[in-house]
Amino acid sequence: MSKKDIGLLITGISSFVLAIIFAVITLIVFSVQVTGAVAKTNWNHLWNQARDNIEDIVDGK
Amino acid sequence: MTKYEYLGELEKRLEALPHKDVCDIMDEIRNHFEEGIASGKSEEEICESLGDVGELADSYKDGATLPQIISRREKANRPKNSGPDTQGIFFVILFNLFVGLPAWLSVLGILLGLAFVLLILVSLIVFFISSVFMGSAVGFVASIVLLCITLMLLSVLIFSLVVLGFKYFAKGTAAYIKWNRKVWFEGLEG
Repeated sequence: MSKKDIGLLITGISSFVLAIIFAVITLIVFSVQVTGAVAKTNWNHLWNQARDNIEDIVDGK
Repeated sequence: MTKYEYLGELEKRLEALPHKDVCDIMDEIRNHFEEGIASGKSEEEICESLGDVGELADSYKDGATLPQIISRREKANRPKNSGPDTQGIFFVILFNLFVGLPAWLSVLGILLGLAFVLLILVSLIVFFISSVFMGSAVGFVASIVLLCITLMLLSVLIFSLVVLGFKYFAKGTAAYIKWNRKVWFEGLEG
């Protein structure tokens, strides 16, 4: 194996290690963002809207 | 050169070896001469088949045995391109059909699969970046940027594997073809 090949292999392995670290960070950030989005959602409003829609369908409107 | 001249010269050249080893070697060579003469060969022909005394002594010093030395000499004296070896041809065909070709195709398939995965990763990176710029990822920009970095790092790994894989695959294929050619013409023992 030439020095060039060993360099390429080391680059590949180190990027894999970094990829794992970034994947963990991505998961953490994504879960934080999802939690924030869920917390911000007005569920009562959504539920009332859905009930109104169902009632409209049942009433044939 | 006569048998006695050859043996005398050989004994001189083997002086560096232990006495017991020299005796064993001399006995072996004497037997070889006797067998050769019994089968109708002249002393001259037997000397010729054993080769130069110095080379024979060096081979013994390197730890070779008489059958190995004779086999090497016969191989060296064999005319090149004397035609394919029948057993070699059968071996090459069967080996390639059941082992060589399936293994070669499997490795090629894995490498092409890796190249395809690389293509998919690059497409995903382009897709996620465009989704950020088109405003369809509002609220998740940080996650998508991080995801793109992760995918890029994975792409670097797969790229290096694909480059190294194809390089050594090409080298291996060339060596394998060379070996097949050797077996085809010289058989497995050659």
